[in-house]
Amino acid sequence: MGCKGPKARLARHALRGGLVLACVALTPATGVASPAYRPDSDATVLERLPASAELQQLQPLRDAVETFPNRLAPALELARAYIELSRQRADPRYLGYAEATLEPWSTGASPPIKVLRATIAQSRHEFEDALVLLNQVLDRDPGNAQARITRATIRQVQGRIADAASDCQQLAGHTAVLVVVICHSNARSLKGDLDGAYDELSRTLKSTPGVPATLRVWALTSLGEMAVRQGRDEIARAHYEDALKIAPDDIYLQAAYADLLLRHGEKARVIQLLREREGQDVLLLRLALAGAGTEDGRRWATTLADRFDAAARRGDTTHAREQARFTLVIEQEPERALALARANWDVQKEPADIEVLLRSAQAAGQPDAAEPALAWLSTHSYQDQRIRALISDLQSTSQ
Amino acid sequence: MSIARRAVVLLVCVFWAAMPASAHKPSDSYLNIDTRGEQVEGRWDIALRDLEYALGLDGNADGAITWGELKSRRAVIFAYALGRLSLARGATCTTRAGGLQVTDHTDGVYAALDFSADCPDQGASLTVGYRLLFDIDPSHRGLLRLDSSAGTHTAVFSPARARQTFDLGSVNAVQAFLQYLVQGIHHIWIGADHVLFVLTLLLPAVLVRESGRWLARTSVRSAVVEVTRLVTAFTVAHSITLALAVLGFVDLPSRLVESTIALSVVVLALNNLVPIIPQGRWLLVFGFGLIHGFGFASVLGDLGLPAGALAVSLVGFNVGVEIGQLAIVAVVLPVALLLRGTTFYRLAILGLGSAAVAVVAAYWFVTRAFGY
Repeated sequence: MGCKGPKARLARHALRGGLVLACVALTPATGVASPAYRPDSDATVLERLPASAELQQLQPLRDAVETFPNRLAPALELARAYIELSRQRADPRYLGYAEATLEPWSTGASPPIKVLRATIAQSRHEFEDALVLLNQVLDRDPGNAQARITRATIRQVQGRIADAASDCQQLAGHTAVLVVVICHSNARSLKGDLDGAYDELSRTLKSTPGVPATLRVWALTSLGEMAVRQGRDEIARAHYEDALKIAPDDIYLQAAYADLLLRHGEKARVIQLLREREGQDVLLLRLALAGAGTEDGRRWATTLADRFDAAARRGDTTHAREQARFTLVIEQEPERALALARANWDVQKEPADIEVLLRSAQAAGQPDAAEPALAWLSTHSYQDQRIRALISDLQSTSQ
Repeated sequence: MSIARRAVVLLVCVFWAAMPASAHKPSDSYLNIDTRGEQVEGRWDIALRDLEYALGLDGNADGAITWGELKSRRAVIFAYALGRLSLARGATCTTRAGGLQVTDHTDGVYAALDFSADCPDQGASLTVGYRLLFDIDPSHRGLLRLDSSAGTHTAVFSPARARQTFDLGSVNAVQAFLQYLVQGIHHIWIGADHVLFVLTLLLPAVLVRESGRWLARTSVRSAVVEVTRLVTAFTVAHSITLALAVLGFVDLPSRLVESTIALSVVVLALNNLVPIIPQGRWLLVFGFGLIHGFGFASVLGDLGLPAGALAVSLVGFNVGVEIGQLAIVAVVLPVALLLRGTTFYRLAILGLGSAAVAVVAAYWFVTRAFGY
């Protein structure tokens, strides 16, 4: 593994440091305190806590952790519950609570703790930190399926598709066949065999009886994404809509579906779908895009700009991809968008990252800036109808 | 572990792995500290959600935090927060709770905690120790904005960087002197009451009162001597009280000071019309100068004096006031000298002018003293 030793550590800090610098430097700074006030009445509701019920459910477990600080089992269970909540609510505070729960155990070598800590790091896009932990686990226990699939996902996000595919293959025999096929077909679809990957996953999904809901959503979302790259938007739409029937609040899925609708000009549908979901930056971006030119759209855009500003103040770069797209399409500042997209490209290399980099380079009139992405695309024989069109636009600009 | 159970555990993790990072904002607090005044002042915005998780604000457990619930926990909140913040400037500062308000940030409502800190030593650096929420959420960050006379610092506190020291700028003495000198000039020029006072003082100085009538002074020299005497009396007087007030020896209510300043202009203007004290006006001016000094002090109080350059700044401000005054003299005196022999000067400028000043200043007096 290439992530050991001081040199590698230095390199990964430099990488992340570069993205932090870019995001902070490229975000207009404010930082002036907002006005404070005293509400008129004692009965004024300041804040509703959607999560208080869930937290109360966890209370017995929290008590157990407090009462038996030397027992690992309750701590693991509580950390898992927090991580699950962070996923459901898309709320990073729970990741922090999980981290605090694991804190007393963090120096230990227990694989389940390392896997959970890696999951937390991965959720924060601290990919290299996560990989260090996962490598340690897998070196000792190559059959650890959780560690294996988490590493496959990270490698895929990083654009290391062959490494991801290798992890997926090694999952075989350690987990359900459908999990292996989703994992592997995703990697396969990104390295020159899009059609074969789609067919493999589609066939396996149909022939597998009693697929659990979460797994079905994952498979359908993957199929939708592949169909989009095949240029078959109608098929993709059907997959997304099937998945949304099972998981209507799934943020990742909603964002993918909204992007498809936006491409077809169905702005009203996007707004109708996401209106109540302003709290999620990823979805707020889609709202701002759908509402562009309207009063609501301006409000959404302002809120999102404030959120990026707040994130930049703490050095948070999890939404560099969204920020680049926002800067390009809404703020229409291609050069700043290009700088963000390039810094983001150093960290993640998924189809959306390719797209925002190519579009920014095109808009900024700097086709050469897209060179790293173009090199990656040709190495991987990457297939994507829309990206192909973007590249030919870009090449006609540079000529 | 059965295959089924293992698959369920795995599924959860599979999904975590497949999902992009979450969208809600992680926990931040916004800590603003201002060291430009004599005292360190601060405001600390802490998310209600975080306070709820740490302290439990939702008294009736209905999932909603009301202003009443928040207010009722004021003491607990301040004790919790200020207990996790340490400030040291030379030596450890004592923090004191101030008002509790609320404020809006991009991800919800925050409690806004005002506080102040007494630092025994006006050291040139401030060390901030921050450990709010780190024990229950290590991803919490404290975002500091520090305003000092050296400029504005921003910093992020994390468990790995929980203690940081900031240079408050060993304030450059020359810079401070010049900066406050400009402030002094500026203040005298924009303060209509001081300008009118000086004008009212100058107008009769080129004349002399003899057997109930104003006559032009024959020599320029005697006029200049008289002006010098008056301006010096005013300057010495207001320098004394300015220093006393700034250094904290005397503190008068601003309403009293401001209305007495207006009254001093009224009296001086009336004295030009019906001279009660034709000779030795400098004594009257000296007395009024004492009051004007308190007025200057309140301006300086608003500006704030840089720690470590207190004396220099005070002198700079005072010199600025003198320069501003002398500039007025330099413009007005030659004209007054030129016109002093004319009836126009005695009737229109001195007579009507003083009457107009008296009316304006009387109006100020009434509004300042009685708050109309």
